[in-house]
Order: sequence, then structure tokens, then C-alpha cells
Amino acid sequence: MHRHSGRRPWQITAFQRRVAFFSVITLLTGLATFWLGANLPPELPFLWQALVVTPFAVLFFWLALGFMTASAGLWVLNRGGLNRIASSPSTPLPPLQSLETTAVLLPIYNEDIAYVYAGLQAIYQSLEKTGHLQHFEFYILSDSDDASNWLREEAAWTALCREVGSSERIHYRRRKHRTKKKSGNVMDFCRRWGRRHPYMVVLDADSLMTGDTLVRLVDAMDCNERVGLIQTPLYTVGLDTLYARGQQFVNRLYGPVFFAGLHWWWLGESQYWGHNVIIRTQAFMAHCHLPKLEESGALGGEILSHDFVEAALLSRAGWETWLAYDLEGSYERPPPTLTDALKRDRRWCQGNLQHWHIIWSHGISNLHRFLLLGGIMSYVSSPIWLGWLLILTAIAVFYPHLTLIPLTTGNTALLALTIILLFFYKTFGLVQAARKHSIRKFGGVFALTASVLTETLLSMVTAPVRMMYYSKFVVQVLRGKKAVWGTQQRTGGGLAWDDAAREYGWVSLAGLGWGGLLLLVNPMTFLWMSPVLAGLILAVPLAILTSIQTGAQNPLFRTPEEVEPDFVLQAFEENHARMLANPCMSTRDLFTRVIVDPLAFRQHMTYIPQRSNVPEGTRHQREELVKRLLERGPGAISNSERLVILEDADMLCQLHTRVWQLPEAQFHEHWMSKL
Amino acid sequence: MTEQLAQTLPNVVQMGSSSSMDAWTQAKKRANDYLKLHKLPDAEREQLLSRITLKLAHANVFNEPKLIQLFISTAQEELALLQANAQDSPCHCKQTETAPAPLPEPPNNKTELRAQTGPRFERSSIRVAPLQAISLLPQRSRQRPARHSH
Repeated sequence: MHRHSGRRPWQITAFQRRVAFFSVITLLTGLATFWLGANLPPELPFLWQALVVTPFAVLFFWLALGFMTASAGLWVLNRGGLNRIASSPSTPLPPLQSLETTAVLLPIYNEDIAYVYAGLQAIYQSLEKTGHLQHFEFYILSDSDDASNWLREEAAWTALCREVGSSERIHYRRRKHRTKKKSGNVMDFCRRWGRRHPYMVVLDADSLMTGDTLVRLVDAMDCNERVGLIQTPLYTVGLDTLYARGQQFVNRLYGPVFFAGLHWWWLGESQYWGHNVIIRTQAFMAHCHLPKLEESGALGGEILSHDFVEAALLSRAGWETWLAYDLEGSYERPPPTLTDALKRDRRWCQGNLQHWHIIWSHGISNLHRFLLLGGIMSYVSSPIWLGWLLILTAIAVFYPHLTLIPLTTGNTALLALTIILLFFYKTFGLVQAARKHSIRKFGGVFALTASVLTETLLSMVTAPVRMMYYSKFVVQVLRGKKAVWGTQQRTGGGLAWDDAAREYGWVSLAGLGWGGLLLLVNPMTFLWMSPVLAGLILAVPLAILTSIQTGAQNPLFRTPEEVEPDFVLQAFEENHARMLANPCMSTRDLFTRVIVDPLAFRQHMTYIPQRSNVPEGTRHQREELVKRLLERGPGAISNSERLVILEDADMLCQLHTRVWQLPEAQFHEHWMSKL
Repeated sequence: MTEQLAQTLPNVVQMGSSSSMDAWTQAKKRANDYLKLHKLPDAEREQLLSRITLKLAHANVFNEPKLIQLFISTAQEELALLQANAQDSPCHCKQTETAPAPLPEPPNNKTELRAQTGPRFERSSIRVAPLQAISLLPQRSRQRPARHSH
């Protein structure tokens, strides 16, 4: 598809909205910055004044942006259905015209198989319920490099196909050469089967989507031929640690307002959040194969956070990307604890900082450049905030006689404005809950009020901890320290005191030192900074508190999904319990099973290709491996060596027979007893 | 009948010592374990085992490792034969849910074993998206120096 000439109606609307939107943000930022600058003590040298005002202006801009997005969202939700891309969830389900199927992709990497497959089955069942299952096919795209996980995935795939009564609709593919992580995995699908499916829905391992939402997405793509991608709003569900439930509550109460607000100023230039999205396959294939960035510098190499870049590339090619802001049947899991969230942020930080290179690429739309910058700022704003606080501390130390923030009218107005921007959007979520008569689903008035207050307090005290970590991450990334992109922790909780002290002790110590210094030198500044210092000092107990498991019946942080779960969530729980009880989920060593059990061996043989062109040297090395295995049993070879054997059909055949022909003592000790 | 025959086979091969007898029993047990894992109906498994034993009765091998090897390779041959017969049989497609699981191919079979875990590939080549940096400087025109014609 070529760049369309002429502006489309939504582009004119988007331009007008963005002008208004950024004008108000600039006005608010200018006003706040002026108030701050005008009220700084005149005795303070200009350089110090500049060091106070400049980072403040940057931080205030992003704060105002969040508030304005929420305000726009409230307006959209109350005006209803303007410029929507997908049909409203309250309207009857549209019929699907297309004869071709939409591919639902589930890229996985050493995941919790029972969880992942139970989710896929729930989506399948939900689609079946809509009567539109025939329009979809499912692809499990495995990148797993753990031999046991691979074998378990294969066995679970067979069990899943048997359970739903079809192997025609659910496919399994394991990639042997794992390049470019998830984006490479999806592109590999495109290369193999992209032509078969006009659209693909990309999921994450913890994604759940209702059949209703999937059908509406396909219908929206059918009806809008210029649309290359539709992102759904992501709602977090399913965990019961205090941290995760807090996230789920925030996401559910304030999420709809923010999603609607983002839609208002993004329109056809939406971001892509990596999953729970429908993509026009040919557009993606033609424009989104990511290059490797130049290795020079800390930010080079493979593009890690591919999603934002892919949306920008689609947009560059003239395709529209939208956010279906009011579709509600799209779920994921939050990280279970603060520690897990920070680990994920370490990876995302690296990925987002890399986008600095993409911002300067030719042809990227201005809005996408700004969105990429927004991703960078979500991490870089932390060192800016930290630096700003350190500057204030330095002024407090070097100029103890100065009252940095005197209680003037200007400063009072500034404080009021900051508090409004920080907290007032929360009332928007409450207004929406009241308007939709869903307060009961949040546990009633009392529980909802308690939840909002507790969450506000928690977010206030965790924000400084995040600031410290994000600052550390940014420095690490810029110094070239790479993050490990492994499997995400999706369950768990219960942090022990010594682990918490080891992980967060440095933050508490920094807070204590910082607070002690200010208390000694400038008690007034200490008071102003006390919310930040409290968060830092309490980092260790805070990490423990947020990791505790809360009962499902606890009314604190209750969400509508807990009170009235959708069919897909209920089906998931049932499938998960059933899948856990399935023999394929046994903890036994499946490698031994595949080698010894003729039926498991036969089953695995059907999944791997026959290769006859193995070079002589490699063949010789593999024969050595087999020899070692026969002499010393399966414990004698590593995971990567197991993978080599499991991928070599000839070697497996040989091994299967030779193991059965081993002398009795060896056979029993190394193999049969472990079956 | 076959069961009886199998049980009397050690006599037929006239084993001279108890260790040879043990070797024979051990090898037979291994083959039996192997067949059991194929989840064949009991009668069919016993019949197969008897056939294997009968085949090897005249092999004149008394060494345990060698006997085990022979038993397993013969078991694999028999299983392959059984599967070939099952495929030739006109009613092999009418397997019910309680039918035994499919038998393994003989280990040296080079035929395409791969199951359809996905639709057939329709390979597409995909071009990498260019990400040249924008230039804020005015682009120099790439004109060749004019040739002087004489």
C-alpha cells in the first residue's frame, strides 16, 4: 500500500485536537514554571534558578499530559462513540463476511504450559460460543529452548487438540533458530503462513481475549481497509498479591478514562502495546521487519521493544493504527510483586531507550516520534526527578538561610495545581463507575473509597522507590549493561525479609542518609521532601507488604472481574485446573520418557523433520554424545545437548533402540527407573 | 498354544547352564517390557512375544547383552510387520477410541514421518524496513560532473 494522498477526515480532527491538547498542556506547564521561577528567592544565583526551573518544566509537562489525557477521556466517555473504530460492545455482534481465517498467535518462550494452554483453550471456547470459531485458527509459536518445556508443550498440544476435539484449528510450531526474540517469532510465522491469513491477532503468554472482542476486531478490519492495526485496551486480572490487586484495581477503575483519552488525541496513529492486538498481515510483512541497529554505543543491537516501532513503521507506510478504547474483553496479568514489576521495567527501559535511534529515522510521523519520546521519558523522567530533588537538596545545604519555597500566593497556586494534576483524575474514574452503576462491582461505596485511598497512599510511597530504580536502570543501560530478556514471572509473592533487605536495602539507606542530612541542615526542606523520603526509607517493608497474598474475598481492591467474571475468565480457571491434572504436566523427566517409551518416542518423531544432510563432523560429535548418554544416563548431558538429540531424528531412532538394548543394570538404573 | 511353546523354548535350545537360562529370561523380559509399552492388547502382545522367542530359539546365542539386542531388534521388526499388516487391512481406518495407539515405525525407516502440526508453508520473503536517519542538513544533489565534450 502506498502513502495515501490527501488528508483523511480523522486526520483533520486529530490535528485540531492535538493543537488544542498540547496548547493547554503548554499553557499549564508555562504557568506552573512561571509561578515557580517568579517565587524563587532573588538571592539564589541564576544558574541554580535555571537548574531548579528547567527539570521542573520537563516533569510538569508530562504530568499535565497525563491529566489532560484523563480529562479528554472523561469527555469521550460521556459524549460516546465518536470516531470509534470497532463496533460498540453494547451492540449486537456483527456477522463476519471474510472466508479466510484470522490467525490467533500465541508466541511463547519457556512458559508455564498449563497456564498458557488453559488461556488459549478459554479463548477458543469463547469464540465457539459466539458461533464464529470457523473464522479463526490458532498458532502456538514456541521459542522454548528448554528440552523439558519443549516436550511438555508438544504433549500438551496433543492433549489440547484432543480436549477441544480438533487439531485442524490449533497448530503448534517450535522454532529451532530463535532470532530476534518475539518479533522474530511473529515474523517467522508471517514468512511461513502469512499469506494464508489476512489478519493476525497477537497474544502474549498471559493474554486472554473474549470471542466477542475478537469478532469485533475482525469486523473492524473488514470494514476499514486502510487500518493496519487495532490495539485493544489491556485490563489486568488474575493475581492476588496486594501489589497485583492494586494494579488490577487502578487499571480497572481509571483505565477506561485513560484509554478513551488516548484515543481522543491519537485517533488513527495509535501505539501498539505488543499483544492483544489485530494486525493486517500483509501490511505488517511489507513494512515491519525490524532491522538490527548499529552495534556502536550502548543502545545498538536488536530492537528489543519492537511494538512501538512496528506501529510507527505501519504509520509511516500510510496504514492507520487505532485503539479500540471501549472494548473490554482483553486481559493480561500484572507482575505479581513490585520486584517483578521492576525486573520487567529493567528490560523495558533498555528497549525504550533504544527508541532514541528510531525517533530520528526518516518518514516516521511526528506523533509517533512524540510517542517514542514518551516511552523514553517514562524512564528518563526518573533521573530528571531525582536530579531535581538533589538540586533542591544542594540548595538547602549550600543556602540554608534561604526559604526556597516561601508560602506566597504563587506557590500556593502552584501547589494546588500540582495536586490537582496528580490526584484529581482519580475522581474521573469514580464518576465513570457511578455513571455505569458499577460501584457495587468494586465492592460498594465503602470498599471503593478505602481502595482509592489505600492505592493513592501506596502509589505515593512506591513512586520514590521506582524513581531510584529507574534512575539506576537508565544509568546501567547508558553504560552498556544489557538486560536479560527471559521468561516473565507471572505468579508468586511472599517476599522474605532478608531478600527484601538485600534487594531494597540500598534504597532505604539512601533515604535515611538523605533525610538525616536535610533534618540537620534544613528542617523546612526536610518537611517538603518528607513524602519522598518516607517512600525511600520504607522501601524494605513496602516491598514485603505489597508482596503478601490477599484473599479473593477481601473487598480491598475488588474489581468487576472478580465479582462478575466474564465467561473467558471462568473457562480459564476450569481449564487451568484440568490442565494441571493432565499427565502431560507431570514433573517427570520427559526427555527420558521420549527416549524410552515407544509411544512418546513415536509422537515426538512426528514433530521433527528428517534431515539427512548432517555434516560428517557434526555427526561424529553427536555419536560421541550418544555414547556418553548410553554409558552414563540422561543426567550426563546438558540441556543444550538434549536439544541437539531431540532435534535429530536419526540420532533419536538410534538412541531409542540402543537404550532398550543396554545391559540390565544400566538400563534399569539410568532409564527404566526414571520413566 | 503359543504361550506353551514359548515357555518350553529354553528346553528346545538346550541351554547348558543356569546363567544362560537367566540371560534368556532376562532378554525375554526386556522384550516383554518393550511390547507392553506399546499398549497392545494382552493376547496380541503374548502372541508377538512367542513369535519372537520362536524365531530366536535357533540363534544359538547365550550371551545376555547379545540376546537382549536380538530380542529388541526382532521385536521392532515384528511390530513393523504388524503395523504394515494393519495398514493393509481394509478396516484399519475404523479404529475406535479404545483401539491401541499407533505402533512406532521401524527405526531405520526413512519415510516422511512428520505430522501436520500446522498448515503447509507458503514461504514469503520479507524485506527489512529501512531506518535511515533523517538529515537536518540540506541534501546535496548527486550530480555527476559534467563531461567536457571536445
